[in-house]
Amino acid sequence: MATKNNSRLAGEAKATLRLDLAFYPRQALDRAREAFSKLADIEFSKEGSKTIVNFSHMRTGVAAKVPDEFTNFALACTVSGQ
Amino acid sequence: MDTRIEAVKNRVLCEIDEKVFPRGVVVSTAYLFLERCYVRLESAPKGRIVVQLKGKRKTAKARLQTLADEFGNELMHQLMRDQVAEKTNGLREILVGRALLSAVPAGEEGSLAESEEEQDYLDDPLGIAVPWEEKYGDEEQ
Repeated sequence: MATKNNSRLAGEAKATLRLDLAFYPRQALDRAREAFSKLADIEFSKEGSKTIVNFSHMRTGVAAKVPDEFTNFALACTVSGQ
Repeated sequence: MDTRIEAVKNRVLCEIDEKVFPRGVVVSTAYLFLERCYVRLESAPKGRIVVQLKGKRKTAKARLQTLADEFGNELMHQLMRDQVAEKTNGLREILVGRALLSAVPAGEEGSLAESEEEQDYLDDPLGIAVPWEEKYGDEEQ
């Protein structure tokens, strides 16, 4: 459940999420990535039962909220079966 | 449900036993809280689920506790809904089935089956079984 914010690189805010596949299936994550594509570059990798979500080049001003909003959106997609 | 407030991180962690509250119930409850806070779900050892509720703005410790309490109440509500839905599933199916049947206009119900029953397999209304010679033999000559 760790979130790492690393905004030290000027103009290149980064963050990492570790989301449980049991609650955040790949289909929901893909839908969320599509929705957030204008706010950040988002890449996935798999680590056991977790999906590692890497955010980079987040738009300034919203960088602090993007990972949390992304997680909420992905959960909503999970529930609605998208 | 065990709760742990982490005021510095602006969040409260709720640990839930999946044997008491099934996964579907926890997810449904979490969904209802998406508008009020940031929610994150994670599996934990021994069949437990950790729900993280994080304030969208800086939130006082007392408010975080209230949020966790309200989450607990909503869990109970969703569990009841789930149990009632399970118990009344058969009845619901009967009611919907009857409602759909009563929506069919009178006379239509079973009309196709009746017309099929009236026909015999030896009937040949389109004359498919008539040999070609019988039908067109004289014309050729």
